[in-house]
Amino acid sequence: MKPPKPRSHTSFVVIVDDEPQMLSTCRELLVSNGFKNILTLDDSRTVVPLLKDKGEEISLMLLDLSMPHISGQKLLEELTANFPHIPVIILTSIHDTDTAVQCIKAGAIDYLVKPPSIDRLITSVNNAIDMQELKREVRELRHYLLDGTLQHRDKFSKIITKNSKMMNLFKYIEAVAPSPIPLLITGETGVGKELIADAAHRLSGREGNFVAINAAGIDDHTFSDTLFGHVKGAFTGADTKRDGMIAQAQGGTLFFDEIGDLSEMSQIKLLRIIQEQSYYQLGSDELKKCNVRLIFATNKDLMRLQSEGKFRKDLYYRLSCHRVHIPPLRERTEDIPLLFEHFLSVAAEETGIAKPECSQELISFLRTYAFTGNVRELQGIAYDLAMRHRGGVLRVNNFKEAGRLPEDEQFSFKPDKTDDNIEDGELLLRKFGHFPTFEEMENYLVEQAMKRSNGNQSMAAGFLGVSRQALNKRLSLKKG
Amino acid sequence: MQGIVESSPISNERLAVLYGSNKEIIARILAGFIANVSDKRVAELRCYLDAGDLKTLSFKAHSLKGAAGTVGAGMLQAVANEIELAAGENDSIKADSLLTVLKDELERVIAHIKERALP
Repeated sequence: MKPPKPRSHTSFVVIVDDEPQMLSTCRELLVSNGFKNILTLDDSRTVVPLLKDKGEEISLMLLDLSMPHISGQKLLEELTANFPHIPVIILTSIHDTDTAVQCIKAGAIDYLVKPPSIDRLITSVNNAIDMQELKREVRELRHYLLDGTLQHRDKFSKIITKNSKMMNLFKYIEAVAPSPIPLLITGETGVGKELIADAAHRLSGREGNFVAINAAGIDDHTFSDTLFGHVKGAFTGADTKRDGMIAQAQGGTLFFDEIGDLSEMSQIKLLRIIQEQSYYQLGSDELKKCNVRLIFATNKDLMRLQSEGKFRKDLYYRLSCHRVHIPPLRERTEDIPLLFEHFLSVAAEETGIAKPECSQELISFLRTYAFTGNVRELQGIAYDLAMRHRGGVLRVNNFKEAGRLPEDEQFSFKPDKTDDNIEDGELLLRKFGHFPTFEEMENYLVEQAMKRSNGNQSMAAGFLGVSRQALNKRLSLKKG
Repeated sequence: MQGIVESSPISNERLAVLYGSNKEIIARILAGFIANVSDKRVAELRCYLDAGDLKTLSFKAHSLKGAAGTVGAGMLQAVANEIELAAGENDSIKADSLLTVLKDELERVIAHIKERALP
């Protein structure tokens, strides 16, 4: 018999059955699988008052059909009509299965023949809670899309942006932050994945700590010891006990960065934590419960790693129920001036030097820079330039003098690797809807150069490899 | 009823199917049965029969059937089911005779749990 897959639960489960032994058995099975918030009712007449009082808080109801006073069918009607967000699992005896099928048609999510086995009960309950969570997410997202405003902008105060993709991403984070299901954050190095994870934690309402662990370059033993901790004497050198990061994050959030670098063995251990929500400290036989929200981040393509056999498929699907992709800085160029100004100010404040001013020329140039290191690279550039110049006005030449560009390379673009698989010419067909003429291509190139240089004709001319006068003439002819 | 008499009132195989090999959970569920289902249950059922309230008798027998199922007490479950059906068909004579069987079987189950299954 395969073991059931318990998980951490803040879910509020209500069990209604007139038989106390059935109530205590179901409670026992749920508690042994990590459920904490369980209410049992042996009188069906108390259900409707409870719904009126706490209906919004209930995550799931297990409902007997055959009860004195008010039947399970009647209660199901009430639930589906007035509390459709509460998934209902019917508990039934074998003779009631036809009725149970009718109940499924009436809105119940599943039915269990009494007495339910531990496998069947936990699987059904987990599925129902997952479905409720997805419905809640859809509801929240719909609300945000229609509303268009962030409810907790302050929780994202560490992230400087006015980019619409980032704002949508914030809305998604607001929607999924209370979820107990793992969140996967992807994006290139330096885009701010930990800041998003921190915001998700602060929005989650969890009272425990936010604890971050970087999985890059750590072997399986170090991974296990860091995560699970150990008891005294667990291995040579374990002179004192260590609680481990799961214990530190209990009731809070555990953030795993660089998840794509985990070894095969560590991946199996991580999968177990997600599925079982429990673990053993090194050297201990005592099973410990793990009540943490798990957030993962990577700059790697996990799908590709999966196809190469370097990342477990089951783990991938477990940790990517909720996922966000943070766009690279070069795709949100409107944020570059804001961020650069911010980092210059911080650098000046921290070091006590005068804050340099940034020329429009440099801002326009930075908007065209590839920033392979994203915000982190921009931050480093701002600090470096602030320290070098200690006031004054920063220009493109200062950037080049600081060795940020090779002397013979005036501008730098990184090709978009997502287009690697597009055959020659197909990109043009996609862009224009047909193969473009010379004139169409010229117009497009000029338009893009002007856009990327933020209207600076000298810089745009540099991109196009023509003189400023030649570009100016062409633009004038076009206007005329 | 004759075909389903078991030598032991509780089936360990059935408990393993329901709860796996987790002895702690099984022990707690058995202890729960002792706490939740006493021999007063049968007296309660008889009161409903004597009062002619066969509808409630049917409900209560149905409940006891479910409770018996949680501990793998197959015979007890079967007798409770028979009473539920008899009460549902307004057959008070049959229900009356079955209550005697039920009383004996429930005592056997409780004694078995107390003697062998609980630590």
